[in-house]
Amino acid sequence: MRRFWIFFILSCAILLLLGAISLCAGSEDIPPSEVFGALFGGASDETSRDIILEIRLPRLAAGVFCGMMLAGAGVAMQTLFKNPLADPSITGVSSGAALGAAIAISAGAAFAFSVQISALFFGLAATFAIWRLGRINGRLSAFSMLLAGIAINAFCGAMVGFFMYSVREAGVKGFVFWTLGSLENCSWREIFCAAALGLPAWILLMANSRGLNMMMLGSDGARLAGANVNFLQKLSIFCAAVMTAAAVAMCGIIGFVGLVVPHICRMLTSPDNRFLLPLSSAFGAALVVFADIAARLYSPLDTIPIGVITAILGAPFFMYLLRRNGNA
Amino acid sequence: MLEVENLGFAYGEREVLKSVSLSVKSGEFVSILGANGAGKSTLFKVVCSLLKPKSGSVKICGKNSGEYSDMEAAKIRAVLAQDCEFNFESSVLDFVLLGRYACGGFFSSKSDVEIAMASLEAAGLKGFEKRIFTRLSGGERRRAELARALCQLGAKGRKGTMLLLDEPNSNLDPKNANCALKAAKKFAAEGSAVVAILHDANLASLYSDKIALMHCGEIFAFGSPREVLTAENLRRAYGANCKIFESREGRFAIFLED
Repeated sequence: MRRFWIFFILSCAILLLLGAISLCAGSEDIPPSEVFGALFGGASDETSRDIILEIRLPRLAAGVFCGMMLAGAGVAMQTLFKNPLADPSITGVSSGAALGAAIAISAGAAFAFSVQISALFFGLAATFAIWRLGRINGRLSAFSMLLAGIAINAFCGAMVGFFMYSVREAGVKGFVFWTLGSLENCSWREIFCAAALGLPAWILLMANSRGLNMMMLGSDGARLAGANVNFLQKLSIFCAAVMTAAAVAMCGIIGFVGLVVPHICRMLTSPDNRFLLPLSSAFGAALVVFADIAARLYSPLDTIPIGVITAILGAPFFMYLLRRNGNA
Repeated sequence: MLEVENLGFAYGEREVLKSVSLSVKSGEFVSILGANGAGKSTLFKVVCSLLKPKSGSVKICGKNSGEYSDMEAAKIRAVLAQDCEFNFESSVLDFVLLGRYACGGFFSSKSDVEIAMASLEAAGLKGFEKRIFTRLSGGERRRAELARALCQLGAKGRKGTMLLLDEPNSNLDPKNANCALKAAKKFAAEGSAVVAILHDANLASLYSDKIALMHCGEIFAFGSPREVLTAENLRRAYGANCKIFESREGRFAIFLED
């Protein structure tokens, strides 16, 4: 409990600090006093105020939101599958969403939000398909769900490749955005829509975090101790899918956050989801904001996709996890 | 407390339980003995509602076991299963506190922690609460699992509750096996019905009020240890010869020979 508060407050403090850096730094550096003025209605330059309120602040909010959602979904999946190497992509929502976006971009994205809506729809459809395939005799089997996830993810990946090849030059940048993620061009409207979807799912998951703890005992063990296993399985897959979909539909696929963050937080405190979920969410938000700052500072004019940065940070850690598990 | 009547169960074509009947009253300690594959664990799973019976019924407190929700059932019966899938780096106290799910609130209260500590003490794990579960030895893990089952019933036996133990002494040295069974016996003395699957006929004869001997999906002998543990019955149950010794306390000590 004490460890949780120490690391939670620390994560929030780091997030605040990174948030401040994120608002100040960029292609044009804005001094903290002007940022403060723009945020709280003090004296500030008109251009600076526009940059902060219409570009950097929504970008920061999108980063915080994506980090929270992806890390939260990762917590739920790792607990449900009793596997520290599980991540939100197990639900197939990311690759499904990328396919949905690819189809919409290829079709010419006729109306506002059509790419996001298509991404959301295909993302949730992929989750539903994997969930159905993972059920054997009315019981969810982690193993068959993992296998179904591999199949669906591979199929969606191949289809995205197909569309990417078909549209050639014009749409390639859009595809890169979807498959590697970016916080660029997030509008307040998009952020509110995504938050309206993702935050209730996060709250629902938090409210059931005690039940989720029981899933660590396996489905029979959880049932014998009084948990409604069927409900908890459906709820955690649904919430994780909606949270990931909300993040992916807005910012594309940002990999490794949902895998690495819950694992680090579990090592720092305990596997108790009542504490792990808020801590991972704060830590995940800080990681995504950090990756975004790094992406922007590396090439101020043409930002490299944020998924590249999280993968560069996450992949070595993943290898470390594999070694550690192999040696244990 | 527990009434099993003409219970039948089959995995596909293979009949595993054939018309099993068993009655356990509050305050009784009943052991189920039998060779591997005799149907003990299947009987257990049907009693816990993890498997649906093909025929017959299981009644707990006069009510069909299927009529209880998982939450209602967890409040009156705790189970120590054969294996535990828990594999997270949690503290032993947090692991035992999982047993409070059916009764506690969102956060563990002071009384939840007291119950968990009392359960740990009963299972012989006093002072282990801060240790990491995955780093315990096999025997310590087994006792932590027992503590979680005890914790589920409030660390104290009472009338109207039932404790089901599937090989509670597996992985335990003789001293700790006695400690685990003593804790279960205390539950029975306090009013709970206790049913344990055991492989050690000596331990069964020391702690049980009644023993049920199983063979090929049937209970063929049920009664006090003195009645049930005969050379003939044990030969039928295990297919091995044995000698029966009467100890000074009037208990049976049994050795199986080739």
